Formats: sequence, structure tokens, C-alpha cells
Amino acid sequence: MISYDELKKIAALGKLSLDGVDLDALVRDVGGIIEFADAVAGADLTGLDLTERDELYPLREDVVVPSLANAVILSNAGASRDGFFVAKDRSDGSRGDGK
Amino acid sequence: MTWEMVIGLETHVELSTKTKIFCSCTTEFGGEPNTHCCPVCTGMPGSLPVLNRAVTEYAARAGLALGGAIQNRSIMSRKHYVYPDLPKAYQVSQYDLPLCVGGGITLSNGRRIDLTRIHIEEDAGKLVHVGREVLIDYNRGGVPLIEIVTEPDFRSADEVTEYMERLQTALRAIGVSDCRMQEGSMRCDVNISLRQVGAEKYGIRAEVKNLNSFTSVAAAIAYEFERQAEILEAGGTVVQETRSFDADTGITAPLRDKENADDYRYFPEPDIVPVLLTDELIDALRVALPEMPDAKLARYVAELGVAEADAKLLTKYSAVSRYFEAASEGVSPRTVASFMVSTMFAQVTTEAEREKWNPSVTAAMLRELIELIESGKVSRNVAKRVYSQMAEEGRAATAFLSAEDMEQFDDAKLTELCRAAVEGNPKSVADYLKGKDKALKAIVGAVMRETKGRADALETERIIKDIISESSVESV
Amino acid sequence: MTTIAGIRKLLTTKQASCVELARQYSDAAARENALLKAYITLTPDEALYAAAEVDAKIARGETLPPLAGVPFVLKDNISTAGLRTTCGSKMLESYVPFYDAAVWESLKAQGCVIVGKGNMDEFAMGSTNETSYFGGARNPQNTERVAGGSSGGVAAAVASGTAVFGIGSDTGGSIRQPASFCGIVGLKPTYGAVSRHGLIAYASSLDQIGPLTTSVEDAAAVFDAISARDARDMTSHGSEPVSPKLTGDVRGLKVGIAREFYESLPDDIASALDFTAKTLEKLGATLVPVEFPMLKHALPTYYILACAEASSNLGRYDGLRYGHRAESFGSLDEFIKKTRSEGFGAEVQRRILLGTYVLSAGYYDAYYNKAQLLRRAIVNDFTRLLGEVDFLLTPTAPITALKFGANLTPVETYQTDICTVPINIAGVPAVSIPCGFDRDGLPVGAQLIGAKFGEATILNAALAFERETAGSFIRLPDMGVKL
Repeated sequence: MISYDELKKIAALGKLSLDGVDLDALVRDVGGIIEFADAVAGADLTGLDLTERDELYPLREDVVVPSLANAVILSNAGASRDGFFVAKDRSDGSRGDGK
Repeated sequence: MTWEMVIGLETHVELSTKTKIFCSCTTEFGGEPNTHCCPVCTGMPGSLPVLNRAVTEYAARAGLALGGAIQNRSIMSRKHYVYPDLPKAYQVSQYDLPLCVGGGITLSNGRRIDLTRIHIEEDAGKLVHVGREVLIDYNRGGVPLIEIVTEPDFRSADEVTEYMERLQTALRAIGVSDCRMQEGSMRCDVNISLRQVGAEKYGIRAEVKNLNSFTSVAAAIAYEFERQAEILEAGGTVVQETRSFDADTGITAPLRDKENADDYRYFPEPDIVPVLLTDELIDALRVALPEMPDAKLARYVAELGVAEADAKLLTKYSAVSRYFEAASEGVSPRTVASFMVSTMFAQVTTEAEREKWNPSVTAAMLRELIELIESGKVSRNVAKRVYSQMAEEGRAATAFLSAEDMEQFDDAKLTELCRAAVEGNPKSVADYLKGKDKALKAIVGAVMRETKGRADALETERIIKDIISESSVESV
Repeated sequence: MTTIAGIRKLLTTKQASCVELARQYSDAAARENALLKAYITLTPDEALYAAAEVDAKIARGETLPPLAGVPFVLKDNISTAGLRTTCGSKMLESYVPFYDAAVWESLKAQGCVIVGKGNMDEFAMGSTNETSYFGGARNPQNTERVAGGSSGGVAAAVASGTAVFGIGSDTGGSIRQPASFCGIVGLKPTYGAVSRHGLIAYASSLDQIGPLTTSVEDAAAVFDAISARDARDMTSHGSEPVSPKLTGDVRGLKVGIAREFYESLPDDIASALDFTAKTLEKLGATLVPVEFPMLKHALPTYYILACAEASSNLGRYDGLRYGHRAESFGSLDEFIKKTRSEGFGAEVQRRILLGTYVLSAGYYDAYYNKAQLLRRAIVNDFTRLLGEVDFLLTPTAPITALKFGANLTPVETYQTDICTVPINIAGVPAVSIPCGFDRDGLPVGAQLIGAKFGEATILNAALAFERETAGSFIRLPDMGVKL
């Protein structure tokens, strides 16, 4: 199960708004999924390790390839100006973006 | 109470590879916003990272130069946080299996700063805050970084500064980074805590992020020391948190509120296979490593006979030491060194210029000038003037000095001229003998006029003194 | 029903021009799409353009690549420069990529004719197509039924005869399950056989692109056209061509029957599978009972890993560089949260929440780390099993196509993926082929699972079964293009 507080914390980390969300239903759904995931707890994991047999993959050589035009890079941006992507903040006071 | 500061440092250094860590866009500094970008470094849906070989090798060279153990297998991990400068909402970094473990730097006071690890990661983009708008430029996004993490081994801000200088010198010497703090290619996070002198247990630390100058590092440490001491004196506890430093006010402040507390949710990056570096490659990189500045300094002093103060300056910049070594071939390194430090460094004053070190007088031209000095064809004080003309015209000394200019002033010839000057200035000689030291200058001046300034003034003065004392003994 | 060979014959014998074919397919797709919702975007202009190129080649007498002129459908999570790519989401409703996915490049180079972008569950998260923002694709076999998920639109397009083949992606069964629901062939290749460059990620370590076709030979031909090592995808390896290896001879092969896959299977599905096994036996293969004890851990392991990766992969949708943007907001943080909550549907948000949860401080070891170890155990099990036998035969799903609005809880829906998710966890290839019908006449799929890069083995067995049964289980509805 998951508590309301935990759900809120997780939603904040996952950058999802819970405004207007049926919290009871969400707690039930997500709680159900977590319970389902809990089944891994009983698994016997003795003798298992994560060391992979790696293959040597050829890495990229350090050779410059021309970048894309600025207009192309910005072509899907909802807001841009002077070549920049633009993020807007309409709040008063602190930026509130956590940094 | 007396408090001791305990500091650990995380230094981010931009590697000077040509392309970004995961795409082939240029790493060139600056440029119009979002013009060094592609789907990968702007996090377009469906784009995938492809690791740059040079990044792994540059990082390994840095690790080797700092005495660390390069790992045969390391793993890229995703570090999650949401901020507009991070287009994928995670930074690809390394977590539990970094590329290099251990190493260290020994300070002049004999204390050793141990390195915990060095790992590779991508840089974020750049934000410009304009009013309530944030302008985002991803040119820097994906530029390769190494993060060099120390143990909490520093006990003063001076130690931190010296460590950073040594780190800078070492990384520049092996050519993996230009370490320009003003361009952001070297930045630090400082972890600082206080404990009572003599205590063993570490206190609770605060982390001051993103310090981008030596002054800021020192100021942030000083501020935190005061702040934490005040809290502890009052019986309070320091909050373990991340703080930012404002270079204008010299003050640190908490970076995130509680709701937005960090939880990086690291996990292995599934789009990038493990970074495998074979022993053969690591050995080859080790062998190819240039001489490190400390070793070079010792060699300059012990083997080349360069004065230690001069050697320090020459080994600080790899371009300078390359120039010095080229100029010293077949001539006295000590003479070259003292000439470079006294004449050339006086003219090349900024760090940036010294780093680049491309004077119009080439090493070969300087070597020729030193040969002229050594063979006595050009005196030391004339050499400075000759050098200025060389620098101005970009020509070799022999290209503009006439045969007469380079007439040898061997001791016999100079002595002859001095004797003539003594004889031609009896009044000055008399004044000098009466104790007027200044009178000697007139006689030296006469010699200098006669030789058009090509004679060595000190040498001339010594010879004149000898002549006068000889003759005065005779006359007595 | 037309195959790649059929189209090629029409073109090389000049019975039809490629432009004529392209027009017919585009028209049929537009016509059937009103009901089926197989396509999110129809691309008649691109189809005609590609077809004209092929006609020009034919006129010049050039040799045509194997897939030249063949109309196909591309799942809408594969990046197509200049063509909107929605991922079945409001988030990307008007996103127009500016670069091409590797598979799209390969198919363009072959001269394939794109009919449209296939409908799909939002961000490939779903088993019924109902999480698509554009409404779920209907099953051409029975339009009251779902086409399956997540590549349901692609399966519906192929099964409806409006595309000759389809390109889907499969993270936990997203090619095989809709193929089985719609009664066609679906191949999930070995992880790394096909480049993921340009595939919009759901779960990077599980995602793989593959074909949906109406014949085994077509599946092999498309696989050969798209499998290649790609310098832009560090996890790609490519593959040897499999078409030349298809003989349809299974004599001497050992077929593993792992009983865990057959527990609590409905009778009609069980008997279709039984028939498949017996047919293979009749053709000279040996049936070997084997055990796959890790199966019970596969689903939770899958959902933990897939959601963890998804929560990370979907973090980038913040409305700043592309995609949906919230209109009213205060702080930047609020803008991002509102953008995401408006742009993502409920299932995507649930999976982001689960993924964030299992990676967050204090839970990583209990969930993510454990799931990674279980993944290793599942890989070990498959390695052991596929050393003992040549391939495994299982049902593709314990169900046939569900009715729309079956209203299962999320967990009940997840449980229907039981037969397909272990294959993605292990990174091995598997093909779903039609092998019978249930009591409602809906197609039942059989899944053949091979060892890594063992595509030739499973496709060969699939071909043997298809030939023996004269393709009688590929019974497609009276729709689409009649040639």
C-alpha cells in the first residue's frame, strides 16, 4: 500500500500535478500495483549477481558533425525568442522551481 | 571554542574533446544560442546517446595523472532532477561504478588530499533569467565533464586553493582541459563542516554548489565557517543541505525547499553499454602521459640548473614549458629561463595569454638570441632591446643586427675601451677617489656611448673600478 | 490478402503501377479507418511520392530492393521527419520530428510506401489500445473487440488489408499480442537486432522494433530489411539475414513445452496450442516437457523495470522544447506539472508513479535492485532451457481479443501479459503465429521463443506450421484492398 503523503511525494518527484485528481482512486490503483510488485519480495535470489558478460562496443570517434540549424532545433518549441527556448514563470516572488 | 573546518571538494572540469560526450556536436565555447545542438543534446524523443571514445580516454589520462586506478569496467547511470537546463530530466553520469577510483594530490605543507573517485558525465545547458522568463541555450548541454571528488581532507581555505591550482596545472599539462574558471570549464562544489579542534568525529556538513572562481571558493568557505560556528556556538545544529553562493553579497543560502528535496533515483543507463577499458589501453595511456608539472619542476632545477622560482613559473603552463624546452636546445637553460621570466613574463601578464603562450618571437628566434648573448655578441642589457625589436617586427635578431652591432666585446677589447675612458676623464676619476661614487657613472657612460650601449654595464663598471684602483695604487 | 511477394509480382509484371497501388491502399486505409481507427495519421502524399520513385525505377529498368513499392504502416512511436509522431498521446499530438528513425530510413531506402502512422496505446503502455488518446483501434476480425496493444493500430491495419506489412514495437508483448488478437504474424526480434534510434522510448532495455505481417516469409523479409547494427544505437547488433535460411523443415528439432505457461489456460486456447504442438511433432520435431519456474516472477519484475525506465524516459516531456503546454500556471514548476498531468493519460501517469516509487530513496533495493536480480534469474532460466531445446512453444496470451471497455483493473490487465513479458526480460526473439480460433471465432496465437539471434529457428518452425496448415488460420476479414 501507499499512503497519501507518499503518493504526494512521489507525484512531486515525477512532476505530476494531483490537482483535481480522485486521490482515493489513485491511491487504490497505485497501491494495487505496488502490492502486485511486492511479489518480488518472496523471490529466492541466492547465487545471483549482476555482473554481465560485456561485449566491447566500438565507441564514437571524436569528429565534429555540423549541428542542426537553430530554427530546426526550435521548430517544436511552444515559446522561443532570439534563438533561445523560453520558459515562463508567472508566479510572484520566488521562482519556486526548486533551484 | 576553537573550530576546525573539514572540507571535501567536488570539482567539475570540462574536457577539451572536440565533440560532446554523447553526440557529434562541437564543444566550442559560446556560439549563438542553440546552434551547437542536435536531437541527442536537446533530448528529442527517440534520440540515443553514443559515448565519445575521447571522453573515456581523456578521463582515464586525468585519472592516471592524479594517481588513480582506472577501472576496466564502469557504468553510466542516470541522475534525475527536473530543471530546464537538463533536457532529458536526467543527467547521464556515473554512480556506483566510476571510471577511476583513488589517487591524490600532495600539498606544499606535506599534507595529501586523497581522491575518492573521478567519473565522467554530461554538462547541462545554460539559463539566462530575464525578468520572469528563463531563456534556455543547450549549446553547453552534453559537453563532457569529469567530476573529481576528494575525501574530506582539507583543513583550510588555503589548502583548497592550492589543491585547485595544482589540479589545474596537472590537467592542463596533460591537455585534457583548459580549466578556465571564468568560462565555466572548471567549477567546484564545497562540502564543509566544523568540528572542535582535536575531535575525531566529523560535524554535519553543508554543500555549497557551483563556485566558479578561486575568490568565490575562498569567500564561500569563510562565510560558511562563520555561519556554522555561530550556529554551533549557540548550541544549535547545522542542517545538512545544499546551498548556493552569491558572489555579489558573499552570502550562502539554501538552494531547495523541503518539498523539492533531492532524490536523484540513480539507475544504470540502459541506452549505454558498460564502459570497458582494457589493461592494454590503460597502459598505453599511462606510457603516453607527458611529464607531470611536479616532476618537470624538479628536473628543471636539478638537471637543467634553472632557478627554482623561474622553474615554478615555467612549469605552471604546459605551452610555456614546451616553448622553454624548445628554446633551450643547445644553449644554457638557466639563461633561457631567466630571460623568459624577466623579459617575456613581464610582457605577457594575463593567465589566458600565458596559457596560450604564442609570442611573436618563436622558440627558435629566442634560442638564436640566447646564442648571441652566450657568445658575447649581444650583451644582456642590449638583449632586452633586441628582444623588443624582434617581438615588434617578428624578425630574428640576425635579420636586423649589423655586423658592427654584433662586434665582439671580449674582455681585452672592453678593458682597452675602459682604460681609454679612465684616461679621458681625470676629473671624474678624482671625484670618485674622493668618495663620490656617482662620478663612476660618467666614466661608465662614456664607455657605453662609445659602444653604442652594446657593452655590459655591470661588467664595464667592474673593469673601470679595477683600472682606477690599479692606477691609484701605482700613483701612491 | 496480399503478401510482399504478391506486390512485387504485380510491379515487376507491370500489372499495376506503384502509384496505382499506393492510391488504392491510401483510399482503402482512409475508408476503413473511420471505423477501425487503425491509423492516427494517414500519409497519402508520402505514399504517392514514394510510389512515383519506385515507378521511375521500374521505368529505368533498375533492380528493385526486396520491399520496393510495398505499402506498409509504421507505428506512431517511430520518428518520421516532417510527419507528426504522436505516440498515441495528447502530449505529442502536434509534435513533428525533425529527424528520421533508423528503421524509417531503411524502409525509405527500400522504396516502401508508407500508408500511415499506426494507432497505439499511449507511449506503448497498454494491452488493449484503449489508452490511445485518439481512441483504441478496432479489431478487423470483430470490430466489437480491441485490436490489442500496444501496436494494435498496426495489427489492425495489416489485418484489414490496408497495409501489406506493419512495423511495431514490443516492450512486453506489444507486437505479438495484437498480432495474436488480429490473427496475423508478429515477430519480436532479439534485443539489439533492430536499431532503436528514433523509437520513442518506453522502457529502453526492453523495447524492440519488429514486423507484423500476414505470412512468416514476409516477417522474415521485413526483419532482414530492418535489422542492422547502427552506430547511433549503442545497444544494436544487427543480425544475419534469415530469409535464406527458411526451409520449413523442422525434423529433428526439440520443442520445449514449459507447463507453467499452460496453467489455467482456457480450453479453446489450450486445444489450439495442443494442435500446434502435435502438428510440429507430426512434421518431425520432438516435444520435450520442460520447466520454467521463474515465470511466476516475470510480471512483477517486468512492471518494476519497465515502469522505472519509463518514469525516467518520460521525464523529458516538460512542454519546453516540444509537446503539449499548459495554458494557465503560476511558477515554472507548476507549468511543468500541469503540462504533464494534462498531456499524459491515466495509465501513463500510473506507470510514472510506480516507476518513480521503485527508484526513490528507500525503495530502490526492495524493488528495482531485486527486479534486476530476478531479470538475471529469468535470463539464466532461458539460457538453460534454450540449451536443452531448440525453441519453446507457448500461447501468446492467455486470452483472445477483449471487448471494448472490459473494465479490468490495471493489475488484471497486466496479468494478461504473462506469456509475453518474460521474452523481453530475457532479450530473446519470439514470433506469434495464428494457430486456431476460440469459441467466438477469434484468432488464437501461438508463441515460438528462440535463443538470442535464433530468429531463423523460430521463423523456420513457424513456416513449417503455416505450410502444413496451408495458412488456414490466417483468415482475414473482407476489407481493405482487393487485388
